[in-house]
Amino acid sequence: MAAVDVSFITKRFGFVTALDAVNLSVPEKSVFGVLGPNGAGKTTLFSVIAGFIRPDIGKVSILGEEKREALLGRIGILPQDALFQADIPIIDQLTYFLRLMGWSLQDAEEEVLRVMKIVGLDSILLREAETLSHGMYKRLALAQAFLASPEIIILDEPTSGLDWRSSKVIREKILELKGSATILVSSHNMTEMQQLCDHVAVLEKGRLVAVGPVDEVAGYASSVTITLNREPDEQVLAECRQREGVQEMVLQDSMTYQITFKPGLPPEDLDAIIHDVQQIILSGGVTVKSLNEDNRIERLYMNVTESETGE
Amino acid sequence: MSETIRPGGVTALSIINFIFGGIQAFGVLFALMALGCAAVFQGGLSAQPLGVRLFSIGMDGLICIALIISGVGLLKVNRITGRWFGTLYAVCAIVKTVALAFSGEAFFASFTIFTIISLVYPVLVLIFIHVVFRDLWARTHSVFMPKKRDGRENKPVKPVLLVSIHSFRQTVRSFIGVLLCMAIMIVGLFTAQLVLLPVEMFINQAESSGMEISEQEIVEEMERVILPILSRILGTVGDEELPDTPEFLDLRALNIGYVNDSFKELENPKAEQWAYFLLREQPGFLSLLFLLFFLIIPPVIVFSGFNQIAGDARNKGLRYLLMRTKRSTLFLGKYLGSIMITAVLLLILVASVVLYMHFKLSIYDPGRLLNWGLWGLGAFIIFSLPFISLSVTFSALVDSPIGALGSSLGVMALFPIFAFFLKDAWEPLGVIQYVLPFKLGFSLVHYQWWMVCTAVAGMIGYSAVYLFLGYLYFKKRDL
Repeated sequence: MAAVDVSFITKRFGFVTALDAVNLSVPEKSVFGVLGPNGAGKTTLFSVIAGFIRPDIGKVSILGEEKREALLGRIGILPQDALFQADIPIIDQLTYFLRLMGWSLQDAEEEVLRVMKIVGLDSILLREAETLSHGMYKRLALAQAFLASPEIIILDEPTSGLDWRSSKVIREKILELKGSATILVSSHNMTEMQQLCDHVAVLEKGRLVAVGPVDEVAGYASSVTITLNREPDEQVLAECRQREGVQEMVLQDSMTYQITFKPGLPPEDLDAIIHDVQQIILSGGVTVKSLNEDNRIERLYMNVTESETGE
Repeated sequence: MSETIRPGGVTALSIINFIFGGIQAFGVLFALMALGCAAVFQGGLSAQPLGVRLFSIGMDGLICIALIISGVGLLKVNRITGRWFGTLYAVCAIVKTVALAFSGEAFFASFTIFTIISLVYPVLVLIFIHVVFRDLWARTHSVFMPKKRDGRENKPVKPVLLVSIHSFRQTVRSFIGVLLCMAIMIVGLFTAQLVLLPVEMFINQAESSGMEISEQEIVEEMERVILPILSRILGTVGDEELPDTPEFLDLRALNIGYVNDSFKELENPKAEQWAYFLLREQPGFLSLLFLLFFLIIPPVIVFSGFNQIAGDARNKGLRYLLMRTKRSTLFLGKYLGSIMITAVLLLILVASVVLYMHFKLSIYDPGRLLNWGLWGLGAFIIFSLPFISLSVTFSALVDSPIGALGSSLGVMALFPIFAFFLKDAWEPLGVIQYVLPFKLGFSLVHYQWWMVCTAVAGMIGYSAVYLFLGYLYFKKRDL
């Protein structure tokens, strides 16, 4: 069953069409990434799904329900640019959110402590949100989205404006939830999306230009980058290049090679090729320091947005 | 980022502390100068005994120091300097006022800035630092420890009640909340002083001319004089009952349409009884104040509701709530929260004027004052309901808090003016005066029960209509 079903949603703000007949299904327990340039309609799509704004045309069904009342407390969201109240301590605000859902005060406090420990902010519960740094504020908003373990979590650019360490913490928390909740996430960080998502949708000027599982939509890895501890012999390189399925192997940087595969290979063959290439290198007395797949989501994003804009 | 936890209300208190501390410092300086002059001129400047004057100056100095130290402490959210020096100031101010009263000084001789510093503000400071912001001082460590809770404390609360309590707390702790409490008290006392000014003048005049007339006789005489005027204001007196109206005051001679219409409305035989009830059966001057408050309250209470939804909609904070509760709950909860804030403001207003009246005019029996004060408080709360609805509705319609405030105030000011002029241009257009329930409010202090009940029903009806219209929009709007 689809966790979220969006059927032909259109939303206009004056003369601007923010969403144009968007139609997509988010599988249950998936991590669903929404990509698109600024102004593509990602935040509007999330706002429609969350019920903050009403579509002009179309309907949204979440967990089989169309009525918002049936979904209260079952969706957690990290909205973009939403502020916490000034003058009220964080603990009071978060317990208030839970008590609105019928929780007792003690249970609410324990739950708040649980989620704040997840994001590493359990020591700032007595402070007010406006005294936090940007990174802490974002983690607080994330903790708020995790409250009461919702079935669907919507994260609108969860790592935007954060330093590398804070982004990593947030990505790890999202990965920990993978498989236990349906997560919709948007980001401009393609590496992050590649790491997190198993399904993607690409929006461009309010229209959906690609949607589906990452493997289907973005295809499989077309190349890998391999970094070695020293230069291998020419013979080793030749052996690698002769391996069936390898199109080319070129030196990118000092001791870093890019291996490009022949197009259309299934993932099992790609795994076998990568395994064999590593064995050949190791047999030549060279150690593989790192091996990275190319960013398939970035490739997809570039392909569809370039073709849409005609670049 | 600063780790200081300081709600806007605490900042407001500290700023007021600095202002009052500065004023008090000037007061002490002038008092010392006056004392010096008195010494030079051998006590010719004041009739006060020297001991009382020294005590007063000493206490004022202490008050000034405590105010300034507590201002700094509040800014730093320091338990010792903020809370306890604030308490020291309040206690010193109240002790000084009471001690001077027992020593024969006039308790409320006249309403000045020093009345506020020595009696009004200390009470507010005590309430704010020991009740509203009591949790701030408990934060001696930064780690939250959940407590075991049982019984009533741990029972789930109805969401609508939670929303209302939360928005009440949010407003009271804000900068504007503290200022509103101060402002309403000052407005009340200032109006009370204005209303009692003629009485004071007559008493002074009688004393200086050596007339042997009691305060009660003066007040009763004034009430007798005011009776026909009040009747006219209320629109209750017929032609023949005011034979001695001077020609220049007889507006009917001008033959203006709406004036004549107003006088037709006055031809109500029961109406004079209403004025009599207000002036003679109840504490008359308190009734006069109440009638003035019916005009002052609507624009003041708009401040309690204008930011309820607009503020949260603008900063998108409502989005955190919409995932967890219904829009109807939020809307109704915000409305109830505004009623709570208004009720507190009105309580401050009525309590301060009743106390002022009690100390100023000892002729009124305290029991009667209290009863009529409670009646007035109830009447004002009921009277406020439609205006709160209106401001919450505008708060739901307009995204910007300032826009919501301006719209509410604009409608309140413009509708009566339009009605006044349009009625004269074409009578049926006068019906727009009934869009707002200003007129109906006065019936809440009517002498007939059925009139009061009608007014209560009318106010609730108006309130429900405004609220319903606001909700219709709020439930569909993009947030």
